[in-house]
Amino acid sequence: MTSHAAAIVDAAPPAPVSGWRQVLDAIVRRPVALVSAAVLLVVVLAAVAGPLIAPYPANAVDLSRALQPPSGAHWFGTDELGRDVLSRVVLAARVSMLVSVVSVTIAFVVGVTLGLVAGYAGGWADTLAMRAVDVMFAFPVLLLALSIVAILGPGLTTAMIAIGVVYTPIFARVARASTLSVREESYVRAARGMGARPLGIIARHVLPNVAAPLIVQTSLSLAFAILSEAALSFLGLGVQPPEPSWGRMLFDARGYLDQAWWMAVFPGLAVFVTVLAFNLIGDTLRDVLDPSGREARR
Amino acid sequence: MTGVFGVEGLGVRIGEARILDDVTWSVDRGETLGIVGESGSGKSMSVLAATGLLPAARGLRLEGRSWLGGDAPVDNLLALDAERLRRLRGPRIGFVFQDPATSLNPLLSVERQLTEGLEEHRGMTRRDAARRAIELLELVGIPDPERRLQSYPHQLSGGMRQRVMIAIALSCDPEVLVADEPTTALDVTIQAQILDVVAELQHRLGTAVVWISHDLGVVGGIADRIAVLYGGQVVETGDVRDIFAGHRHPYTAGLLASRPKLGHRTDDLAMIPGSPPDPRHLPSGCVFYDRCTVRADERCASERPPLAQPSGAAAGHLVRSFCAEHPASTSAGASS
Amino acid sequence: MTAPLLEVRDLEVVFRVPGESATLRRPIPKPLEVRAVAGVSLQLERGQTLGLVGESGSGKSTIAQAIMRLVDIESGSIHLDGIDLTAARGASLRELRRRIAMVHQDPFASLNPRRTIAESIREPMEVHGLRRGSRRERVLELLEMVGLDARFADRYPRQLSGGQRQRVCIARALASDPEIVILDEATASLDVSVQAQILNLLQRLQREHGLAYLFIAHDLAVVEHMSDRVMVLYLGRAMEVADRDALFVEAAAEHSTDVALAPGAAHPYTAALLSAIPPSDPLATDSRQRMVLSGDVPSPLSPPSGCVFRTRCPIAIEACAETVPPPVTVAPGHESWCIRVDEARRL
Repeated sequence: MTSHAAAIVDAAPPAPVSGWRQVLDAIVRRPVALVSAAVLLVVVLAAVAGPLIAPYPANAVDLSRALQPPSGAHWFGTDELGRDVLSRVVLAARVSMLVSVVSVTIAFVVGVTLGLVAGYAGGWADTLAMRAVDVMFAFPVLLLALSIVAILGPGLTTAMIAIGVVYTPIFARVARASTLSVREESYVRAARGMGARPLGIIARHVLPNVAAPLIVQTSLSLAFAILSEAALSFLGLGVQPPEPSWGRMLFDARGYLDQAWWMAVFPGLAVFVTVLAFNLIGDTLRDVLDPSGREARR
Repeated sequence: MTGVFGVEGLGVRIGEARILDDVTWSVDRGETLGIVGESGSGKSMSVLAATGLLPAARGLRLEGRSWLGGDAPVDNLLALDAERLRRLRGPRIGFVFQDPATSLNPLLSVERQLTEGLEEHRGMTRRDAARRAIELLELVGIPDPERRLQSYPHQLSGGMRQRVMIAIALSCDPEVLVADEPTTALDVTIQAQILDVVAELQHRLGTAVVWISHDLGVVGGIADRIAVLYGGQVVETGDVRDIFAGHRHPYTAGLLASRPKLGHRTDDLAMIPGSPPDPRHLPSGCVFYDRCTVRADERCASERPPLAQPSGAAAGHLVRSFCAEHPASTSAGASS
Repeated sequence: MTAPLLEVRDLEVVFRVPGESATLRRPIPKPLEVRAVAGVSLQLERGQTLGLVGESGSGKSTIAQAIMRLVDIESGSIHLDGIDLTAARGASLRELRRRIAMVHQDPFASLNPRRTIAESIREPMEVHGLRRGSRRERVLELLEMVGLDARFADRYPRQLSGGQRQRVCIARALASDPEIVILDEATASLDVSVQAQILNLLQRLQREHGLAYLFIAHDLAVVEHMSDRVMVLYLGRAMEVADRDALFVEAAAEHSTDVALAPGAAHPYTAALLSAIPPSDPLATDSRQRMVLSGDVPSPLSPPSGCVFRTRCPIAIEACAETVPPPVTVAPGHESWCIRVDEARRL
């Protein structure tokens, strides 16, 4: 009798699929996500290995070949200084990726820290942090960029800081909202009951459960950061010439729209396609990681 | 078939999960049928399916039938369209659900919730309905009914709300009252009150009652007949005395033996090892086989036993087990 | 006489809820006070089980949370092994939480869904710096102790059934080698057949490791089965406390429910609770007095004056409204908070 009962021991369930595999699976299964991932891979490749891929240097001025339409030698044509548009588009990818990654990293680190602390601690820490966030929210990118330009002068660093500051609030809010809901969960109470320190609780319990909406938010913010960088460069506040930047290229193309449409179209397409790809991946990530839709868009 | 309400051969499938399988039970006028089972047994499902209250789901398939008896019999409720079925709920079948907090509309006063059904199904005027509402509140033992009519659900305690639910359920004089775990969320002293109210009402009005619960103690106290569900199947059914003192199914035996009983101490509780089955992967033989400590027959693992009356059992006592024919293994006195 | 392992004296817990908002006349908003626990004292001896019984609003769960310092204590004291830990902070608070572990009612909600079983069980060891270097072995050992296969260690809570998850919570509670385990309605959300497994497991662990249990439940039959001593609570106050054998009299015959006959309960509320439980056996000769309480539990925002139970008590008299009844010693170790104990025993 006893041995029979012992034999009816609960069979262990099968090993679960790891989170990353689920994500990969979801991407592979959705054609849209797959294409977006491919596009992003190309952009990253361009950013990393630009100088190796680009057929011409970014600043190879050759006035004799100025304003030539797309051809065998120049797939994207040339600009008003005879520079190869394709090469410039490829090399500008580096700037865009750099600015968006760095600025979103700043926004993430500062914003999530603020949000976590505010959400978990509550009280005056919460009020203080959130009012600071509200102030940051109120600033349009441009105004902030101008202020920073006044202090630091235009350039890459300015762009990164300005965009970073502007995107901090959304991360703070997402982190805080998730933290507030997680804080009330039974397992957090159980952790407090066993004597865990607040930092330990945040690291072990709060962070993993707020990670999902934050990851989604990150991919969306990367997309918008690229747009913001393009806008800043377009206005001359970001990357300075002759450094290639998609936004700067759009600016330069203004005067030649009827003569040389390729000068605007290709950089524009690059921005558009990259931003779209980030957005679509973000949607897919959200479907997989956070179907309840707790993250916000900016 | 005698009786006022019942199901026959009822089956429910959602995708590859078999939620209910060949479920048959019935209840007669003035009688209380207790449907007992643990989570996943399908006890609530059988009633929801029978009355068309199952939420729409992809891959939902129904089999069998549910019927109403009495003066205006309905052969198969499941064959009716949604509108005709809806008109039966209220006038012929009343419902009381588990959580009165969510079953009552928090925005409507008690009066409105009571009179709504009366105006709809009985065509009463507002005034007549209000008068009837007061009668109903008195019927369920709510003090000061005129004032209570104006209350809103959040102003009432759990026990009060449940009484209001019962009043609503009985407002159109149904032949059957279906109660799905109505006292599970209530304190035990309040539960005692509600049990009294329902017993009194049944005595006065002759309503048939179907009481669904996981608590054998509660069901044993008020039911005349019991159906025990496991893994979506009826594994034993019969008179309450037969179930408690003369049960033949190993699951029933295990269920009864594993409760701590007031006044009877044991060192270790007899327990049923393992967990209930996954409706997507039901065994091909007896549904209880994996957890059964009796297994007295070679057919247990491979063949599905039919619901049949074992030898020596009283009429109406049906068991779905091959072991039932091996008397020594499952009699009420035998401990496993 | 050695001091009890855990002693709680005159515990009071007050929750403040927003009441009326500020008006011009009274610019500071006045919060409402809910006395969830109003002066409860209890003792728990080593290796013993104290059962706390009560319905909703009785304060039994709040007492557990107060002991773990998860809620603020208004007044009163908590002593563990003679040391006053009421205002403990930092390291001494952590030590309290190592020596007293808690198993909560909802096994699913109390496990972090994103951590594996092993990670959840290991957490108390990480928090208290125990068994460095041999934590994985200890996790497997604990899993075996609660009857789970070693492979469960790398699974996630969502893959486990309710009973399995509760076993994991028990294993986690034992991970810090506690002396006391608080079981807060630990079997309430489980099916009957699974409950029996868990109760048997808890008793075995108690025997093997000399654990003391604070067993909180609303099901009297389960409390009788598990407890050495029982305390009955109502609206944040103790009504009666006694050894299990003094409160529940063992039934003489097999199909009998002759419980709550004298000497049994010495408080009308205890008698009512016993009476309200449906007989577990409909064939039983039930010579209990049928006692159905009228009315509902009063709101904790405005508890009745004097004895809080008087509004539903079948033997209440005028004097019951005047003062809070002091404890009456009915027998050694048996106290009742009622001024009409003799009548109560006749119920």
